Formats: sequence, structure tokens, C-alpha cells
Amino acid sequence: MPKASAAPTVLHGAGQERGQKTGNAEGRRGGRHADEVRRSTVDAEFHQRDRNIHPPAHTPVYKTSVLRSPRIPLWSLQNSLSEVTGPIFSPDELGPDDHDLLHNYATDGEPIGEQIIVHGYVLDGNGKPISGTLVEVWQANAGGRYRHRNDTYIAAIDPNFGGCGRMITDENGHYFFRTIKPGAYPFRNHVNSWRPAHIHFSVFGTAFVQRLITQMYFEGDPLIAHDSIIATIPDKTAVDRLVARLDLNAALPLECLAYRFDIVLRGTRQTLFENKLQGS
Amino acid sequence: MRSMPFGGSYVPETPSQTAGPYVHIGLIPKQAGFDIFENNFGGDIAGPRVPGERITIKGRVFDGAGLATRDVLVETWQANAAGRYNHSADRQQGALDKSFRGWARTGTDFATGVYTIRTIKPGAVIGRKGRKRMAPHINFWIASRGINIGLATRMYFADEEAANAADPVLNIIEQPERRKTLIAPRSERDGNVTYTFDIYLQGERETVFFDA
Repeated sequence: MPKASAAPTVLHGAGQERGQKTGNAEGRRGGRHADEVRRSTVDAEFHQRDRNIHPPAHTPVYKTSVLRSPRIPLWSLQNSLSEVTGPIFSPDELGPDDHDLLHNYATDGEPIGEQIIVHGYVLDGNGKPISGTLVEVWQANAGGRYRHRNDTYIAAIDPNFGGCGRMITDENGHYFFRTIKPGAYPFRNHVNSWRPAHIHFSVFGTAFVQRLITQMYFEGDPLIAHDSIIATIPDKTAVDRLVARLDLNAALPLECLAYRFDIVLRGTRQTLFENKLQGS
Repeated sequence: MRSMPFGGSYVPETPSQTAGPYVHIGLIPKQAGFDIFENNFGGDIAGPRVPGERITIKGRVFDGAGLATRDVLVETWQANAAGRYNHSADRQQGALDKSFRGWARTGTDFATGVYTIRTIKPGAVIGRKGRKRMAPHINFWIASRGINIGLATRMYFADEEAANAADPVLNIIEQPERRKTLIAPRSERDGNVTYTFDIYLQGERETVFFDA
């Protein structure tokens, strides 16, 4: 594919013929607006998402996905400013107890269950910590019941447990929160389908294309091998990275255990744009 | 100065998992029926002093059986009225308004299936090649039970016909018919402007989703 000198180096091809043609047509004209180009083009594009890591949209093993999965392939889109930017949050938007699930909803005592610390780092695909990013978590209580109007499971609601928290990573990309270990619960996939104990995570990174929602599981849980939602992930080594490890060093002696869960978001590739000033 | 296109080591991304049926608890707790945080993120994002045309976006998210889903998380990300994103990677010259983050979060309603976002209409953003502007658009990201990995799409404005016809992203979609799935019709009532943006997860009218 011929490239005009004024066009940025196209490093990850969109794959679609039409897209490539459009790209060429756009890059053909010279440097008339070279200043504008320098100021405006995307600095660092994201690595193409590795779709082998993630569950595909359509996974009959998890029945609900069948009617909620696009059937036409996703349209490949190279990064523009719309993709490499994203919302930024500041710590003063959160309350002081937002990250403490033991106390952020409690009124007359602590929630029932095994108290734990969950902590880890948010990194990008180059292994670089992502500081100042919003991490949100939600989970069932110790009995496996969510504080949600649509959850009618027999386990009791815990009056002192809300089941959600949020925090912003520190300068090293580190987050931590205190909570109780959630219980397993059944769901209507098959008649006898059970979810392993898990905590839901929502993470932003610095760009909207890094947006990720996932679930953290607990080392040693025998239900992991039977779960239909985990089974949507084709790569078993990828599944392993969703399992938090017991972290005795982070435990509080005589008080509570700790689990370590690192989250990796997509990383950028620093591209050479011939028409861009580097480091500007 | 020249640099290598790759640098350092590559660490594989954490895999996605469905947001599940109780996504509201963590991300829109008020919709789950309880009050926990003092400050809640929401779908009404333009304060009174933010410049730009006030708009409401309403829509539903349909599954493959034609049912309007009632448990989907909807997030949007957009530039301000000058076409500038509130983010350090955007060095365009348009005015930056720090009070307008440009990000909204809501859910499809438990009863009606309708989601509602109140914001301002964004301006045109410079394109990837830095010369051609993209037509005004709002980036959407949705997640829910049954969606294994969040789905990204864009909403364009039906009244921006000329800009849409020249938009570099709409134009890479091979089938012109499918481009229409991203264009929201505009309606006005009592001076209030509403764009209707329905999303079809699958079926004959399946929305174009992007792998960006």
C-alpha cells in the first residue's frame, strides 16, 4: 500500500479495503495544513485489542449471550482523538469511605462474613502503572445475595452491606479496598448453574478504548471449573489472570486475609509519525 | 527524532467478563434502588454555564428477539461544543471547558427500556489524519448481562447531513445502509431537542459496532 509522505504511518491496518482506500485518499494531499496536523493527530495509538484473550460475543455456553451478541463482525476502526481520549476522574469526587465496603453502608455494625483486603495494580499493556484512574467494584454479600431489586435469591440481605465501592489508583497505579468475601450463588443458565465467588470490576484507564468490565475470582474456588461465564473465555491462561491470589504478605495479622488482583488494560504503541514533532 | 514503533514489553490485557444483571449496584446504584454514595455519576452532564446546544438523547437497546432490554449500562464520551475533548491528548485549538467532562453514564429503564442522556451537542473533531474533520458524534459504550465484552459504537446527528456524508468513519462502513444505524433522527418539541438513538444488538437492523 503506497503511503503519502504527509500521512501518519499506519501501523495497525484496519483490514477493510474501503478503509484503506479512504486512508490513502486522505493522506494524498500535501502539507498545506502541516501545523494543524502536528497539533492534532493522535500521538500514541493503542495496540489492537487481542480478541483471543476475550470471550467472543456469541457463546452458547452462556445462554444470555445468544440474543445479545452482534452477528456482523465488528468494524475495525483506527484510533482518532475520539478513541484515545476518555473521562478523567479526581479523588475529590469520591467520598472518604467509598472504598471501604465494610463501612460505607453499615449503620449498626459490620457486615457478616469473612473480612478481606483486595488490592493490586492497574497497568497498561506495556507494564506501566496507570495512576489516577477510577476503579469501581460491586459484589454479592457473604450469603451470595445482591442488594438489587431484581435479585430474589433466598440468602438474606445484610443490612450493613451495600456491596459496592470505588477508588482511584495512587501514583503507582495501586488500589485497595476492604470488603467481605462474597458467597457463591445460583443463576438460571442451567437449572443447577452456580457462580463462583466473584467481585465485579469496572476500570477506565486514560482512553475510552481501554474501558473494561470484568470479574475477579478467588484462588482455589472449586466452582471456577464449572462456571459458564468463565467458560466463555477460550484461553485458559487468560482465565488464570482473573483469579486473585491469596497474598499473605498483605494480610493483617490476627485480623484479615488479603488477595492480590492486578488489572492490565490495553497499552499504546509509540508510533513514529514523520510529520509530527516528537515529544511535543 | 526517530523512535521504534514498539517499545518495552507486552503484557496481555485482562480478559473481559459480562457486567451481569446487577451492574447497577456498582455503577448506577440509584437505579438499583439504594443510596450509597454522596456523589453519583449520571446521565445529565452539561451544567448551566456549559456552552452549546442543549440536547436529550433517548433510545432503547434491542436484543435479537426484538425485545427492548431493561438492564443495559450505557456510557457516552464526547467532545464539547467546540469539538474539543477534555483530555490531555487533545491539543486542538478549540476552547476547552474544564467544567464539562463529556462523559455520561445511565442505564436502560427497568420498566420502559428507555435510556436518557442530557448533554450538549458536540462540535466536529479533527480526524485521524489531522486534516479532515469528523462529523459531530458521540461515542457510546454499552455493557450488560449477556454482553461478554463491552460494545462500542458512535451516534451521529441526522441534521448534519453534509458533515455525515463526508465523515471518514461513516465512509469506511462498506454498506451505506448500515451507516444509517448510527444516525439519530432529531425532533423538537416545546423548544426541547431530542435525538433518538436505538441500538440493535443483532437482527436485520444490527447496529454497527466498532473494534477500535
